Amino acid sequence: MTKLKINSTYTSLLLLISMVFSGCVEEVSDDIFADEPVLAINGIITNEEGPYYVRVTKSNGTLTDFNQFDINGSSTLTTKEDRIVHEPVTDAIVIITDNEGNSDTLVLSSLPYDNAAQADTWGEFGFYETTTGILGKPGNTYTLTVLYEGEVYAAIATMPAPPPPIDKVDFVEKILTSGQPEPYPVPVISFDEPQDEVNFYRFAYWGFTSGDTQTASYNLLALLYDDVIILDDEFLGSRVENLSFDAALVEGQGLDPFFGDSTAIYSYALEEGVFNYYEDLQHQLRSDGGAFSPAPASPRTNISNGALGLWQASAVSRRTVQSP
Amino acid sequence: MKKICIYSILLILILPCRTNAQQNKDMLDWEVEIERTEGTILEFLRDLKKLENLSLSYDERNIPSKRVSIEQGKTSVRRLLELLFKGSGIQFKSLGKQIVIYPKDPPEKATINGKIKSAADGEYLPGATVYIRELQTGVAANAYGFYSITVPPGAYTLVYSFVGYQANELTVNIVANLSMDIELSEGLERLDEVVVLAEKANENIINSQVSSHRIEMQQIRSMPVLGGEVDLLKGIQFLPGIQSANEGTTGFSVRGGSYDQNLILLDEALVYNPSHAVGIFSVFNPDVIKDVQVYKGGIPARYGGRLSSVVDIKMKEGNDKALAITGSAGLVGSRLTVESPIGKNVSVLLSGRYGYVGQTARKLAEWANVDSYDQNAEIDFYDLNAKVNIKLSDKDHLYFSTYTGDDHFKNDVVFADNTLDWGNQTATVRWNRSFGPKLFGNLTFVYSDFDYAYIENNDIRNYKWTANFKQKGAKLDFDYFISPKHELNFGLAVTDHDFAPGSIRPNNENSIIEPFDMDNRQAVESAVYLSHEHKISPRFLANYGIRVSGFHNIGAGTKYYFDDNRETLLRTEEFDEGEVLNENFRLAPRASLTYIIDDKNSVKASYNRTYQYLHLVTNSSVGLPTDVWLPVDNNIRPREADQVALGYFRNLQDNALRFSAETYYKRFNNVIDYKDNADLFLNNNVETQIRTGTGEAYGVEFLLEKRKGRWNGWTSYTLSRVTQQIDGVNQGKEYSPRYDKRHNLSLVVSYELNKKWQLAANFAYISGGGITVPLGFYNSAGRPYNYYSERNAYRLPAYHQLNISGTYKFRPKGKWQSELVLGITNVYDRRNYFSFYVNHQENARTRVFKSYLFGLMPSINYNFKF
Repeated sequence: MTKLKINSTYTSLLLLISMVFSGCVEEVSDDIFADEPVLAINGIITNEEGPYYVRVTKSNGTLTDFNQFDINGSSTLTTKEDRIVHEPVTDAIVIITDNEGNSDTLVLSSLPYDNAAQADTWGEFGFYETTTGILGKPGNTYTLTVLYEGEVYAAIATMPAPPPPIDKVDFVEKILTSGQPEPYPVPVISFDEPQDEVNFYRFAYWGFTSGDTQTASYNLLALLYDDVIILDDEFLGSRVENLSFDAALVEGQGLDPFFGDSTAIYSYALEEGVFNYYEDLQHQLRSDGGAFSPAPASPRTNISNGALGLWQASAVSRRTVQSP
Repeated sequence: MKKICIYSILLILILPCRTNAQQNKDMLDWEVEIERTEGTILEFLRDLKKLENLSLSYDERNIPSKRVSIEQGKTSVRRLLELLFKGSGIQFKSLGKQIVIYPKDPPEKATINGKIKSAADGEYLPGATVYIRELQTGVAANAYGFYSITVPPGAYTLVYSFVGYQANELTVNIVANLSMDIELSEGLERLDEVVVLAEKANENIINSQVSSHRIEMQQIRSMPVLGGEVDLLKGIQFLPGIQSANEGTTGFSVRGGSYDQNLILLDEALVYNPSHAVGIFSVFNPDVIKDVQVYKGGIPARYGGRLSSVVDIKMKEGNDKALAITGSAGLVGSRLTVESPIGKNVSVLLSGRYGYVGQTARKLAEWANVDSYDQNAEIDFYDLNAKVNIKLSDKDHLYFSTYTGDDHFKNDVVFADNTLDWGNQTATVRWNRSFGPKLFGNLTFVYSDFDYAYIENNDIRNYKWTANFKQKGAKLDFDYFISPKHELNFGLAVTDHDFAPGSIRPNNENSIIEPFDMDNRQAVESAVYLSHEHKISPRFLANYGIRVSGFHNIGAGTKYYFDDNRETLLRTEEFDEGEVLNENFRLAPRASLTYIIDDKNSVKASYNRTYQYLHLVTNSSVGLPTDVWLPVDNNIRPREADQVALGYFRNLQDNALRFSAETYYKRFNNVIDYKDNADLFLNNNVETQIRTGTGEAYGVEFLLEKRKGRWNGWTSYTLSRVTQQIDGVNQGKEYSPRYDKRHNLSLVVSYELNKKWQLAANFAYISGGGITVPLGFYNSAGRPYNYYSERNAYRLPAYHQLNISGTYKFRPKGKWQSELVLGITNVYDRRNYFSFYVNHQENARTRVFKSYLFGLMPSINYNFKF
């Protein structure tokens, strides 16, 4: 399938017309949104060391600002609970089983959160972690089951073979979109692409200070970072040179800043269904769902019973370099 | 081609009495004196005709071309004619106030034919009727004003009539074939507003046409409309069964069809994208449009290629009587039209329109101190129309008409540095000829082109995207008027299509965009058709026919084979230039039946099947200039629709009021939509994003029209429903397309207050369309994302809007006539919501907006004509 990934051009035509004539745009109040929240489940199992994390929250129908950790920074909010935008579900039963007969019933995460004013542990955000019962292996199939309020939500994921190793990472100064008007170091990565198989990839990066005790494991961060590239390999040559992270950007958005002295670049091998889910997420960012866009739809999830989100099994390849 | 034998001709016109010194005598006994002594018989006859009030009737074709010589001096008309026609087999007699010259042995049947024209400017009047009172039968002129009717010889009263014109009644003694061009005068001397109905106009009752509307531009002109810019495509949305595809725009849906299912023809050339300023205005300059015929059902066999409707727009031929200049100046656009005869046999029309919406908006924003308005916005469009009409002979006409229009669109406020340019071109060359009194033929060459360029000047995604669609075609059409009971229409058409759906190029080195070309495609569409209009009895009329069409994808090109889910490409096959990739043949039967209860009541039924070989790949429900047309192929099959309609027609108050009620049921097959989360943008294999399924539409439509008197206008109500079921769309569940709107009520009125003031208003109430809305948010991969309702499951609030206008006519100064039109659209400032959309642009913050297009909008226009 030939696809050129570039951003939609239609997002603002409507606004544009409205401004020309005497039309107008109004922000929608919360009342059109559904009253009944929907369960959102996001989990990942990798071939790196556990624990692995599954997050269970509820959808919401209110419109608020929040950061990628789901925290609303508004100073008018006083309690920790109020600041967490998506209501965590802390009393679900979360089980991962594999095709070797292993099973792990997850527990609410006790991993400390590094801003005690906001939360003590990641469990307060609805994160569950595996105990010891299970280990991610390429080729194995993992079933996620979530029991909550009498309903059963399930998803199956098979872990693909590990992605090719990233053999080169550079930082290129680029002027990005209006999100970051000054030149900014953008990671570019290179790797050899196996030509005789169909692969789907997701790339992510994050910075850390070497020697620091990691408060959150990579397996947890994988559920939170949004500076990612997703790719199918149909039109990739045998050598991918200098693939740039700004390709992931949406109009008006910048890249996350680097912090610490080291940057880890992750490559995840994806199943096609998982790739489709990420593609739908990107599509949602590119298309506003209005009259000048195709009719929008919820992202294609692999979780049953009407839940939102994704259950992902990925083999990973990681390369750590010095931050720019 | 072999000349078809033409009978000699003869007639008697009984004209009103004239005063003359010899008037009491038989005309044949009048004393005349001719100076000529030698010449052809025709020359003598012409000399005779010049004599005051001597009325001779003959067909030049039947006069022998021999030369004769005659002694000079006074003689009687009888004596002179005897000398001229001695031994020629021609006889003459005096009938009433005319001398008729005719061949001996008149035939058993005679045909009257000719063209019906406007007396004011020589425009042909398609659809004008000839009615023979004694026989209670009649015919309508074809699209080129040509009529033909065959009757037994005898004396008849012929009534020529057309909406908006005074009927012309003639008593004719038909002895042999007769060619007669007729001119009708407009109902009133004025600038066009009031549509006067000719006497005995119950054509709507007695013809076989169902589910169609003929619209005079006068009706469209008198409707108040946004910016005062008279708009054909918005006007027809007030008719039953036709509604906006998306509120406030020119895209329309006919009886449950999507907006790419409308065949929009300008002088027979296809118009790909009939919109200006992204759908706010349509491309048809009202000053050059003569006539519009809209078919919603009972589509005649001569039309094909689109499923749901035909909008057949004819440009004026150009005034062949005198120079005429018409113009208009308004807030959003101005236009000027020049029409003139050149010599005896040529008339030309030239017209231009320039739209300056952007400049007006900027001035308004400055005046109103609106900071948010982009001072660099550029929104302009123009239209140029030209037509040349050449009379080659009495039987042959040659027309050349062309349209070109372009749009330029740029606005930086919310979307930095992009420009959109698009335009349509059409050209038509048409030769029409009467092959004898009964057969009328047309050879037409058409060319249509639509292209656009989208330029994105964003820092990293700097590119230019261009696309082009064209078609070239030839058509041969015949109307054969065998007798009043039988008329045949037949013809053939071949169209060559070229699709260049997208080519993208980076604008500079920093752009991350790679050059990319979507496959160009070629196809040939062909058709033959035959239809028969058959008056079975005085009460029963039938029209039945068939259209056989073919569609061939032609190389060079690539044929793509996908798996059953159409997700995975299995293999490709390359074809060389001229090779056929796919072929389709389809048979489309068409039929309608009219039962005339009496001269005021009739019942009509119709069935038609239609096929469509092109589809519009669009990212929107509105119709953007960046839409892509693509042909069917081995993956996407031709769309088909079957429609049955039943109607009751009744005229009241001496035909001043026309009422109709129609009901229809339509089934669609291979109807297309985009799968959930489709990615259409520059996707070379868009078939992977398209899913096909079935659809169903039904409804009932009521229309009450008053076309006569100081008050006129119409009101209509439509109750309708349309659903689709497509695997892969809306999880395979049945859903309604966006343009499924249950109730549709329209009111269009105009009122002549006095000689100076004319008032008009229109009102529409339309149930809200279905849209897909975000139901809420959830967190995934570090961002909030939306989850959505089922497709189009949320109903927008109902749309309703009132528009009014007043026209003040200035006192004419010589030929100069002018008027001022003051209008207000959306009088009570109703916020008709148009779209819900989500803005993800701010980091980790999602907002949902709804928007409406227009609040209350005043307008002012000045129209003139001289």
